[in-house]
Amino acid sequence: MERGHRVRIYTPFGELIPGMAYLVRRLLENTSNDSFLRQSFTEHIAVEKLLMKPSRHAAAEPPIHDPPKSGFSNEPLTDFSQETNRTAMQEALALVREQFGSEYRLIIDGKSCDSRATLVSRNPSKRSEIIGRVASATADQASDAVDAARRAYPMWCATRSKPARSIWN
Amino acid sequence: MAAEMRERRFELAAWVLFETGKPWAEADADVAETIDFCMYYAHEMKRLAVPQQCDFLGEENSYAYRSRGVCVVIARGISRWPFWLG
Repeated sequence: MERGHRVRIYTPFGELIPGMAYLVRRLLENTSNDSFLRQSFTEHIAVEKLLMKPSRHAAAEPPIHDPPKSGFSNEPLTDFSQETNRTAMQEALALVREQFGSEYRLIIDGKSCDSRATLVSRNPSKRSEIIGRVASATADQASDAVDAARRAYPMWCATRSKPARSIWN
Repeated sequence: MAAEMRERRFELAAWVLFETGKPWAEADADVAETIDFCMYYAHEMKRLAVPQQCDFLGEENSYAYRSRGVCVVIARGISRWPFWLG
């Protein structure tokens, strides 16, 4: 203050546990790679770039095309600065919304079966919205599932690795 | 499986989004990671399907993998529960 700088005194107020949680979250946010604070202070990225509209990033930086590598490579993330991707996502959200409230039965040994109990999946952002109702298996049904797996085991064991792998691919 | 997931990527991301409350980028990343799981384990199986050589001077050694049987994965309690799609 003697040097003419403004000083802000930051005083936590309230219950300890939520306060601690808040401070931990601030720490994580401020040190995150994506944090504006860190990017501007440590990496000296210009404010104009940080505040640039995401859709303009697509124009500013052309997408990087890595040459295809042999063997495993990570699936690239969707670039939502591209409008086609945003549209596709919006359409998917609408498509999924139409299926809300459906019932999902158990599938044991290839057969669909019911269970008296259900688990209700709710949208955490809007608890009144029911995503769907999933059958909740009993201990007996879980046991049946394991038995079915055991019966299938010899067949699976004998399957050569190539056709088995192709299921994953 | 990975191919199917790539086809229906946005639909899967939408389900993740609604069930977990994750934003678009996070939900999309979950789908990408699931695809990675499928591809990675398929790739590893290819490598591990043949006996692995581990020779020392004067010795010829190899080891091979055999399946053990059925295993149950308790996904919710033990592994990372936010990774719903996995």
